[in-house]
Amino acid sequence: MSSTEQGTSSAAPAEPTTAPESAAAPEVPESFYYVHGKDKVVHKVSAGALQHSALIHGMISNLGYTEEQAKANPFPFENIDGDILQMVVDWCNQHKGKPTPPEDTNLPKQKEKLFDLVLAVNYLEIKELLTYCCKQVAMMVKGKSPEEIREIWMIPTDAEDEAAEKEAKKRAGKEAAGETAAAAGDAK
Amino acid sequence: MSSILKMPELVLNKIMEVLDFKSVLTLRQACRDFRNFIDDLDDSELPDSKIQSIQIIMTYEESIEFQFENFDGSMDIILYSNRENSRIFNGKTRILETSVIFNVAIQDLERILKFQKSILKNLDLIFSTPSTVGVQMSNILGALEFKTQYLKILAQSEYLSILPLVDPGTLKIIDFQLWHNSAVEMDQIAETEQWKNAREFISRPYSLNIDVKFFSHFSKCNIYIQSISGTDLNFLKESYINSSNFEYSHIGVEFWNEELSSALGPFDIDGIYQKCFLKDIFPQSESIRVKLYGYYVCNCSRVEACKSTEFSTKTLD
Repeated sequence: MSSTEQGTSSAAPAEPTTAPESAAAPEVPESFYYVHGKDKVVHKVSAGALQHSALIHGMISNLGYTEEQAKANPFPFENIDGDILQMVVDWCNQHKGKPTPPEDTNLPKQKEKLFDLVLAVNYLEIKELLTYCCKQVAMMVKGKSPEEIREIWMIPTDAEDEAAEKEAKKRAGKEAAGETAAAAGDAK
Repeated sequence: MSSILKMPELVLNKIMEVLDFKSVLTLRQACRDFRNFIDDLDDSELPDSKIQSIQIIMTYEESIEFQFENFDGSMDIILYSNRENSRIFNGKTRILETSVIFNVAIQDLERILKFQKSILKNLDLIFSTPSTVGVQMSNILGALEFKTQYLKILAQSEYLSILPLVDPGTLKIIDFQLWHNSAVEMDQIAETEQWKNAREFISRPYSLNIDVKFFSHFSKCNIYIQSISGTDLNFLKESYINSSNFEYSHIGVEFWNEELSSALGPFDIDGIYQKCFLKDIFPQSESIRVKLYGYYVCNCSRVEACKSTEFSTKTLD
């Protein structure tokens, strides 16, 4: 939850990254782009930070936006929750132009958030972050028994799974039967 | 929330890469979706088990035991008991529903071997079974492929059916531990690729009825045989002199051929007979030393040209 709060508080255009970057490379003015998630909160991110995402990097190169166009057309990622996108943006900013360390311990500990982050990162094609996330997901079940794994990852047992499947089939069967009956009725 | 089972394949593959092979095998048991996913993976997508050694102990109609030595020296033991209908993994018992316990064991082993990417250092096969059952067992094991450098077999007599279980390309050392003075089909064993490709042969503690021409190609040999004649010794000497990789042979002899000792000439006072034979070809600095101890042990080794003893190139008998 703390990450979410942190996310909304720093949702305004990312000032922390601009200062050190302009000091390090004063000659080349950095270009910025804008992204937003499901919550429509717009994040201003430098092109350097966005390079981590192969997807966004590709979009930027193809579109060739001017500063004004970029501002007017934030990239919409409707499939990503606002707090998750915030995490991704923060990570990209922190690791801008830096070689990524072999481990990252700042990932969310809550599995729900972690799973959502994995999907977002996979979608945005951020290779290194995906590796960290997958490692963290894997570590959750290392050395655990099958029963413990089911509990940790919230996997139904085969019996539960089959029961649910049967139920779904039954429902589908009933609907289909209803349809055919209706169709037969129509034919008459 | 997102479900782990709905993750894209790339993500699941990455997770598999990070897990060690035991975790992947446990995960396989968690649910059928994971089981199907893992079974469909290519061998190259599975983590290396890095198992160093495997010992398989077959006890007739009773049990099969697998002992795995891991790369860090730790051990994992799985015991399949026919009587209890159970599988005991590192002390934890699970009762199995099937009655064909050996098939479960072989399936499990096959699954584990899928993770083996490096060559085993040791494979020990212990068949505490009557030979006919041992042959059946080795046929069951024949579905698997073992890549090992060192193969040790302890069995009644079924060496011929066990030896082909291992890949001849990787096998370096063959070790026969004999249960008793049993009839082993050495002439047929000598025809196998495994035998021809191996560099070293060990056989203990009972004597083996084997013709010297079958083991003259080994660069290292430590065996106990039933008998040896002057002609045999001469054949060995010639083979060793002409071999490029011979290092030593240590041959215990159960029945000494009297004709041989008379052909060799007098022994030293302490019962040792020693002769060096120079190689006809380069390097001249090397020679083959034949040393006989008290009529029962014959040692041959590649040595620096012997200086203190008499050189001889004539035949022994």
